Formats: sequence, C-alpha cells, structure tokens
Amino acid sequence: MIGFLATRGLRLFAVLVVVSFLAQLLIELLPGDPTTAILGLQASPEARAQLHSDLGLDQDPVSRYFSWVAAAAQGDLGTSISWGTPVTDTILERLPITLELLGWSILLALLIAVPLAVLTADRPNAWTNRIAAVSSLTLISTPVFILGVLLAGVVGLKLGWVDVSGYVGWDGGPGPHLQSLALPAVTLALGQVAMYYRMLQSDLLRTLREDYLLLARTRGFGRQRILWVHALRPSLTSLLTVLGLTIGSLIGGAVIIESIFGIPGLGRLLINASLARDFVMVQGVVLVIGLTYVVVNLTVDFLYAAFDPRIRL
Amino acid sequence: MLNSRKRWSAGVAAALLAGAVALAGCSTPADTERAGDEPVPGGTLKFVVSADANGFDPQNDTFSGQTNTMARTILEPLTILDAEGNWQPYLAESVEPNDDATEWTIVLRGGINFSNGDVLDADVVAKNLEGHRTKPVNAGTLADIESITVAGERTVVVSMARPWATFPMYLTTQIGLVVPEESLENPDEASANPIGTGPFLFGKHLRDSSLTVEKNPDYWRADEGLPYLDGIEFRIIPDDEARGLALESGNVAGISTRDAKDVAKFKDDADYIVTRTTGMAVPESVYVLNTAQGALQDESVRRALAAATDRQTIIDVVREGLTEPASGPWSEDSPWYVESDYPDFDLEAAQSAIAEYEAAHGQIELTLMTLADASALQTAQLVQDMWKKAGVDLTIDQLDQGTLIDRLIKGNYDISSMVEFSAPDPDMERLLFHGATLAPIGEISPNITRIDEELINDGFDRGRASIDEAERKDAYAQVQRRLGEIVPIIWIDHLSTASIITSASVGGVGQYELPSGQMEYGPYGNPSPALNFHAVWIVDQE
Repeated sequence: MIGFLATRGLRLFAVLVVVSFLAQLLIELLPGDPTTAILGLQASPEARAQLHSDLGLDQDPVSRYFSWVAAAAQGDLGTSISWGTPVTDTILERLPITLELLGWSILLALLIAVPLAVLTADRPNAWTNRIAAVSSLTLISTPVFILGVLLAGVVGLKLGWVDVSGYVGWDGGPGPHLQSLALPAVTLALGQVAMYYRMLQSDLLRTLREDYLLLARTRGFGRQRILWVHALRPSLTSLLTVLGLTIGSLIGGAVIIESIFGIPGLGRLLINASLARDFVMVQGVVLVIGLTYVVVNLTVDFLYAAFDPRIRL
Repeated sequence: MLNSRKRWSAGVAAALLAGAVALAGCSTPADTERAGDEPVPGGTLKFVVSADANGFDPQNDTFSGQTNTMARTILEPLTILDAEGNWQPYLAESVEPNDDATEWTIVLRGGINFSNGDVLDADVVAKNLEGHRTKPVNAGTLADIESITVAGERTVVVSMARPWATFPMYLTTQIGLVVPEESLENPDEASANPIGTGPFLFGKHLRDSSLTVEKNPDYWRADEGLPYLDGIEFRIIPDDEARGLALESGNVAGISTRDAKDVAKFKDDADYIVTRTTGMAVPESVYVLNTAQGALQDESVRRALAAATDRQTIIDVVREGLTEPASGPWSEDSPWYVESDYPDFDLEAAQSAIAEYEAAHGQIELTLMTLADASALQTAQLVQDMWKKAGVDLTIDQLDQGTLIDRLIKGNYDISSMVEFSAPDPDMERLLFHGATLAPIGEISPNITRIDEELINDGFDRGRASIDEAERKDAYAQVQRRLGEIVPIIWIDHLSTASIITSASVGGVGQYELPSGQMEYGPYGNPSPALNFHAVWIVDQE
C-alpha cells in the first residue's frame, strides 16, 4: 500500500510539473499579449509598454515560470493579470461550482446508465436493447453544445420547466440553485450515459456467461438477484476505468456547457483567461484541472480494490 | 393480458407520445403585462449582457459596452450624451472653453455626494482626471492635457497643449466617470466594489455569472423619483442562442445584443420592444485592409475589392435584410455623413481592374482574418465567393480576438474583419486613421490600415481643434471623401441590429430626461450596446 501511494504521489507530482510547464509554453507560443486584451486597439505603444512593465511581463518567461512554481508550492498561484485578484481565491470560488456540476452529471449518468445496462443485459435481443443501442450511439455522436442548446430550447423555452437565465448560487435558495444546474448537468450526463451504458452492458454480458453465475441459476437464484447482486459488482471495474478517464472529457464538456448556460465555473474561467492572455490564471486553472484528474484516477484505483477483492494495491 | 415486459414497453411508448404532444402544444410563457406611459416605481429588473466586466474601476479597467451597461448604474460621468449625440453637462454644471479651446473650465453641480458620503468637489474631480492622464488605459487619449488645476471648491481648469474642441465629449466616456478618493487610493477595491454618485449601489458580483445593484435612496435626483427600479440583476450569458432563449422564456426582462436573428425574431412581436442603435451609435461592420504590404498597397486593387463586394447580398443573407450598406464610418442618419466616391458594387469593373493588376504582377492571393463566430464566418465565405468571381483568391483564417488584435496592431495581416466606429464624435476615431500614430510593420500602430494621408490628417486635426460646427463638418467631410477614394477599409454595413430588446412590461428605455432638459442618447457602445437605467421601470414586478 505504501509503495503504491509513493509511486502514485511521484506520478502526481510529475504530471503537475509537466502540465504547468506545458500551459506556460502554450501561452508563450500564442500570439497576442495581455496588454492588447486590456487596452484594446487605440492605446499608444507607450501606454502598452507602461502596462507591460506594471504587470511584470518584461521578465523572461523561464524566470517567470520558476518564480511561479516557487510561489505555487506555497499555495500562492499568483495574481490575475486581467482582474488583479489572487488566482487561488478565484479558483477556490469557481472549483466547487464545476465539481458540483460534474458530480450531478456523473450521478445522473450512472442513475440512467446502470439500470439500463442491467435491464438490456438481461434480455440482449429485446427491442428495448436495440433502441438503447441506437440512442446511445446518437448521444455519443451529438456534440455537447448542440445538445445543450436543444435542451435549453425545449425544456427551458417550450416547456418552461426550468429557468435558463444563468446560475443561481446556494444563497439564492436550494430550489433555484438546483434548477439552474439541472439542464447543464443533464446535458453533460446524456453524453456520458451512452458511454457508461455500453461499457457496463458489454461487461455484464460477459460476466453473465461466467460459470459461477450459470451455477447460481441452476441452484434457483432469482434473475434479479443474480443481475443486481452477483453480476453487477464484478462488472463495474471497466465502468470505473471509464469514469476516471472521462473526467477529462467531462471537464472539456463543462468548458462549453458553462458558457452556454452561464455557469461561472472553472471551464468558463479558463476560456476567459485564455482569451485575455491571462497566463497566470490559465496556469493556475490548468494546474487544478490536472490535479483533479489525477486525484479522481487515484480514487478509481482505490475503488477497484473495493469492488474486486482479487485486486490488491 | 399484457405481460410485464409489454406493459413496460407500452408505458414507455405512452410517455414518449405524451412528451411529443406536450412539446407540440406548449407555447411561450404567460401573457406579458405591458408598461404604459406612466413610470411605475419598484421591482427588480433582470437584464442579460453577453460578457462580464474585467473590473469596475474606470481608472484602470477598460470599459466595454457591457461594462458600461453595468457600471453606469453606480458611476456617473461629468458630461453625458443627449438624444442628438451632443454632450451635455451632467455631474458638471457647466464645461466652458476659452477662445481657442486650449483651456476648459469645469464647474461642478453642488449638493452631490458619493454613496460613501464624500462630497463631489473639485479636488476629487482633479485627482480623477490626473489619474486618467497618467494611467495606461487612457494616457494615450489624454496626451494633449498639459495641466489640471483646482480653481475653486467646485471648479477645475484643464489646460491643453493644443486646441481640443471635443474634450467634453471624452468626459462622456469612462474618462468622465468620477470615483471618490478611497477608490483612487485602492484600485483593487475600486475594481471589485465600485462607489459612485449613481442611482444604484453595488450589491453582489459573482464573476461571469451575475451582478446585482440596489436602489440608492440618497441619489441626487431622488426627489424626482429616480431611479424607478428597486434593483437590477444583471445576468452574464455569453451564448447568443441562450440569451435569446432567456428573454423568450420570460426568465429575464431584457437583453443587449447585436445579433440580427434576435432583432428579426422580436421586432414584430407585441410582447417585446426592440430599441435599435441610431446615428453615430451604430457600429460598422468592415474589412480593414493593410495598405502597407503586397497587392493592397495599390489603390486600384483596393477599389476593385470594394466594387466586387455585394453589400446588399451580405445584408440579405447574414443580417436578415435589417441593416443598411455602409460606404464610410458614419451612417446617413448621423450629422457627419456625406456622400463619397466609395465604389458601388460593379463586378465587371472589379474583374477588369483585377485582371489588369494581375497581368502585371501575377495572381492576387490574400488572407482574411476573422473571428471564430458563425456570422463573421458566413460573411467571410460570401466575400470569398464574391472576390473569387473578380479573380482574387481569398483564404479565411479564423482567430480568437486576442490573436486578431495583436496581428492587426502590428500589421501582420492582409485583411481583417472588424466591428468598430460607434464613437459619438468623429474625433474619437482619429487614432485609427491619423499619420501621427503610424508605425512600421511589426511595431504597434493604432493606425491599423497604415495610411498616412495629408487630407485625412488635416481633416482630423481641424475637426479636433475647431469649436465651429460648420468648420468641423467640413473637416470630417474631407476625411470621408478621401477615405472613399483611397479605400483603406471595405465597408460592409451599418450594424443597426445592435439593440436593447426588452419585454413589453419594461418601460423607459432611452427615455431618461437629463438634468439639462434634453432626452438621453439611445443605446450606444460596442460590441453590444449599453443603456442608462435611471428612468427604466417594470410593470410585472418580482
């Protein structure tokens, strides 16, 4: 266990260093300058030079990176170029919103995908299975922004079931808050349902052919008990792997969905910071996204052991 | 009898059918209660803008149209635009020039306090102007100021290095927004928690999501019943479709937009009021040409490209037929417009001029930079097709705004799409065209077309220096005519789809009566228009 943790800790550190360095490199390679984004078209070269100096942009990129790493190690991710606010504070404001959105979407996706996979694995040749297969393929192929606008149009406008005018915090009341996250979470979830469903169903079909389950049937165990108790648990490992791996695509989807639905999460922050060439903010956000990805996958490793006793850490 | 599987299947089918019926039968939210002529006090208005402010400090943050919409509920300017587009004193009681406009005396209104209790006096106004003069955001614009002096409790004298007749016009912009000393001393706080003299007080700002402002009970025009609203909740929704949906669903009562689809959708619907920009406030959609390199150095090529551009087709296809073709920076309903020799659409003339150039210099191949949005791309593809017919190969390069502006100001481009020219006075476009701001390619130049034309420089210089209106009109007529001849810019249309769209339950948009008696300017600003909320009211209050 200690060896496992040490190895994973080292990997985590390496990933974070590489990710933050690549973020810095990417920003340096992009044309454009934060002063352009701040001052616009008509500012004089002198004004731009003054702002450049005020923002500390006249330091060379390498020393700027190492100063940033030294401060980041102490929890200080720097000061946003375009907003002048501490990056750590801004990220701590935004991270819970994105995590909540991702949490709801994963929960929703699992609540739909798991029963659907169990139901269709039980009767693989039924018409429900064919409908589920076609639907899942359609959902996987539909870009998340189209799904988002469609849902907003139908559920928000035509049906008038939810408010589509942006985010409401918990301080606006639990009802309005959850309502404001409902459509974004459903949009993100629908893309995941298809993937989770297909992965779990194929594992379930394989598990159901295992000798011990055939034995269980011959001994008279009920179908539902075999499916939900004996077949589901060992079939969850692939789903867990997908869960860990898709956190990246979920965050990518959140970047788009947060813009469509006006959710002030980490994805929206990343887009705005990139457009403003606010490399300090971009670096901070990328670091936190990298950290989230690694932590989620580490958790998945622990869950493997919990779901499958044959796996030892 | 149905078995359990068939019952389940029947249930699913019934649910799907019910959903389809519900979708077909549903319509938009309940009937709108219409605002009458009489203002109704109270209520909170929900209003959507497309982007959040970087901050609310007029000294250190650059204000876009969206920022102005939100910030001007809290901060107020020394002068303000009236319905004719002329400046009027606002926090100032008067702004008077000396004979040659090298010195301006600003006398402030008495009895105005900031919301923190500080008195609006000459000392704080002088410090505000001095701050703008020395900080990067506005230092270039105010470079002609030599000194700012306090000449009395309510009097400030601003001396210029050269005549500057339009100086008070600049006080209508963020340069004229006045903040108290505590904001000047703490810019971070001023950016996050603005304090001003305005009709509303800063409430809560959740970046990229919302800003709430609450009625200022001590507003200096409170005895006139202003403002009518108890508060405003600004929602930030960057997606064009989602903004329209939020209004249509009744979740918000107003949006600021320049999307032609929104105007087309709501303009004939009695449940909504569309207030479009007019006159100088209308921005122009243009293609800027880099006249300092390649084939575009040749005036005949630039004129041929203009002649090959069928503006009306672009308007019909992309703008739903709602805008007017442009031939210069100022629309026909502005006081500065004159006709010019800008080329009309004439494909044959364009083909002939291009063929002549190519016979001598070879095939013309150009790259167009455009923003990565649907309408910009659609326009670019139409132009690509039009110019191909004239014999020009055009490559489209979609970029983000930061990259596009960077290449634009450094001259690393052939052609760039842009939406600009919504300033209330021609003098405010001076830096974009004047030879004095020209720099070699690779260096930053606000003069993005990189022209240095004597007639244009002279026109802008005369227009800036003269306080005589006829002289100024003559100066800017000279500028327009020369721009029409040399074509450093291909003008597409006057983008009067820039609009404020509100539910019919909202009254008072564009109806604010200024202290000087005139009505306010309508929606103004770029990229989407701003409005004043002083006299706005809402009937179905929440």
